[in-house]
Amino acid sequence: MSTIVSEFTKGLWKEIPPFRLVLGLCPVLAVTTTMENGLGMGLSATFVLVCSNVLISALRKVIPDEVRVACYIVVIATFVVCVEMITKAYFFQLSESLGLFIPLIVVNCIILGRAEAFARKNGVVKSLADGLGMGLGFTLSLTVIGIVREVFGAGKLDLLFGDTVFIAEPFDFLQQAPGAFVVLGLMLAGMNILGRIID
Amino acid sequence: MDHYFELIIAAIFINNILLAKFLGCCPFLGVSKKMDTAVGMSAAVVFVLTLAGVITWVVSRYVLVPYNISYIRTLAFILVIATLVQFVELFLRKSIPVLYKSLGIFLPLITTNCAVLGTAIINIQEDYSLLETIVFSVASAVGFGLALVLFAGIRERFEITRIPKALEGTGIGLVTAGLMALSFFAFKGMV
Amino acid sequence: MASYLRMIIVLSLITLISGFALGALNEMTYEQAESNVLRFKKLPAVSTIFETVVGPLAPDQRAAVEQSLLAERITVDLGEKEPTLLFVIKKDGKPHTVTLEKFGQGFGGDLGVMSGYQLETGKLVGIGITTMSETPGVGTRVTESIFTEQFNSLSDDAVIKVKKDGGDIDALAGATISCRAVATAVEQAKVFFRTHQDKIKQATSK
Repeated sequence: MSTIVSEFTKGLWKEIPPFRLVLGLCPVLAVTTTMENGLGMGLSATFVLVCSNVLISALRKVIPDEVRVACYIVVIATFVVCVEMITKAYFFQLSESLGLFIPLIVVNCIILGRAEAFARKNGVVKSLADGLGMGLGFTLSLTVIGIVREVFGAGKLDLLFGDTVFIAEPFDFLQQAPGAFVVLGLMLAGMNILGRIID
Repeated sequence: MDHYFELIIAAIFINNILLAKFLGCCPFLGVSKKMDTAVGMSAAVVFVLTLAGVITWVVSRYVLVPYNISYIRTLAFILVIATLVQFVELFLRKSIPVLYKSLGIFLPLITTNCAVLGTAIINIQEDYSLLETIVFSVASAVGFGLALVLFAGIRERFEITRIPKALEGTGIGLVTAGLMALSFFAFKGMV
Repeated sequence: MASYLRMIIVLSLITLISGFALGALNEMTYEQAESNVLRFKKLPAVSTIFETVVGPLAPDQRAAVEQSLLAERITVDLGEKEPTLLFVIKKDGKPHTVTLEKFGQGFGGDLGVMSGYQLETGKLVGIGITTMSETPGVGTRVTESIFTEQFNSLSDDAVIKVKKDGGDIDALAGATISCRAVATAVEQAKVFFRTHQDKIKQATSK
């Protein structure tokens, strides 16, 4: 039991992507202009990660070693297409603002990485815990980055406070592409400092 | 002619695939520590991205659209790209070992390079013709290579610079990339 | 040999199952997704044109008007690849204006423009932008009313091109390509409407 809990919690702090596990940066940079987009992207990726982790771990004895990567890609891509269709039908605005980055979940290194490094060696329950932990960690990171960029870059937080304006003249730079890199870089440094204090 | 020129300039400088569209960030940070690996990776990307762009365009036009199964585009494209990378690897190893030696180790990484899949999807979304697809793919890949090589040039200097401890590694890389993206921003006013 | 066979069987089975699952899911979500495109992309553009024809909408009227615009849309076979989708705007209970969507080549790809024409006179009454992927803050400014509203009052013999190309449309500084794309789309739509005016009129009176 305790191992399952620790498989879950490691994704939330010890190996939280993308800060500790520097993978899957493209969506982190591209869609975190608002909290809503960050949260949506995170949950979509979590869905794919959990489903593919569970399925791959369940099929781990069936899938021949030589073609495993191809099988993983098919499994992951299938779930990604599911997410694509579901967002298009029921979360249209989200699918518009995430655009290209929903299909690109396929090539998110975190998902293939977890399949290769974890799910193919561990049982279904453990893989579920791992996928859920990593996914929620990823979602948490994306949401926080989204909050920072939206509050300081656009001066408001649409998802929670509607049109309330916090900062009259926001720092527009944070909403643009270069700002994304800088915010992520500085937050990474912040996490390093925080990590050193806590551990 | 003008149209293609605009397409090229836009893809390389203004909508740079890496710095403005954030496609292919993993290899960007992963293989940019040394100049020669950056050059190798860029060459491999130009090669695969162009081939993948053309093949996925053909697959989409002559298989997915006629049979009305465009909804599995993502699945079909990633399989095409993965297979293509395997074939390229095999082909290079057998026929052009010299090239294989310099590009070989980067090829497996390219399957999960979102620049390749991303460009392939953009080609279809924008309804490009085959010629436009080729031009756009080459230009995007060149834009990727340009950003990567420039970045590697800057990054080599980190070794002789004192960097705040917390920013070491990826942190300073991202901040630098941000400043580079800012300078690429200047091209936006050009057209 | 057996291992090869197993590889092929497993891989094809997985692909097959995924293919069927996705096909089923597509059946379930397809219609909803299509209606979303209509509702969230095309409809806002149509309602801007509606406002220039009939008058500004109060916030509480909007939903009802959009609903009826959506319900009264028609598709007519005008010799294009697919039947052309037309929205009909009624004034005083009679079909007054028809809007259709055409595309221009913008900076970041296709730029969709919905433009409305009076059924009787064929006069351009207004435009609205439907889809685009232009540079934020530069090309995206074509959606601003200062640019789009100049199409509302164009005289009939106006040349729908940006001034740089010898036309009558003021382009936004720094966004010439995006403005040119809009002008091209509108010009195309105008020509298209005029060629098929009779057929369209017939279709709306049904």
